[in-house]
Amino acid sequence: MKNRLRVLRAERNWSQAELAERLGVSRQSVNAIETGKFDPSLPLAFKIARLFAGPIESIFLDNATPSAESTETDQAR
Amino acid sequence: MRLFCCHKNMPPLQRRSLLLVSVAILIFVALTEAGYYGFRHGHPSIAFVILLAILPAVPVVFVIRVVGRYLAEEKDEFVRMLVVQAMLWGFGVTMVLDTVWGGFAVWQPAPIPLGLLNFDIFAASALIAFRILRWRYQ
Repeated sequence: MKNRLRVLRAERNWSQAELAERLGVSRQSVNAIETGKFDPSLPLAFKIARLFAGPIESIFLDNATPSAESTETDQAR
Repeated sequence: MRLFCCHKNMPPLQRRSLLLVSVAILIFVALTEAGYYGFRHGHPSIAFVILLAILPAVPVVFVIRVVGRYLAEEKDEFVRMLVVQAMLWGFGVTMVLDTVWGGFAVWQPAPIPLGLLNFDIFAASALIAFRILRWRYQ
């Protein structure tokens, strides 16, 4: 699953270790989530969303959902 | 030693569990060695044979309990997943070696019963696998 964790972290000038400490997980966990190699559980995803003060879907992008662009194209047809 | 455990950033739960597992492995090795030499070089009584055969199973049960508690208490779901993956690697390596060794044993009697070393092989391969898996996400 793609996500914007790295971007959001960079905006706040946090290191992976700092973010890991705030989330109460290991730095390897943050790295694995950022690189898309590990999908967090729902509780951890909510925790991340709370930390960045936004909805989950603004951080984690569902690959199965068609993009806004393709939806608009479909509607035009 | 640093390969397997005790780096400075290791959380207390991991450190304690790894320490208990390491001690159990050492006790297991000592008991299996004692049992092996007892069987080979002595003439133990039947009661002593039963004792020598059963005693090494105690640290194995203890390790299962320690790992079970660790998995229940570990809050970091990613590390939990790595531990489970490492144990699967441990099971895999042990079963492959057992199968190959068993195949050879059909052809010619094995000099050492590999069953005695199953736990050592499992523990060593699982610990190495855990270190490699963690290293991949550095």
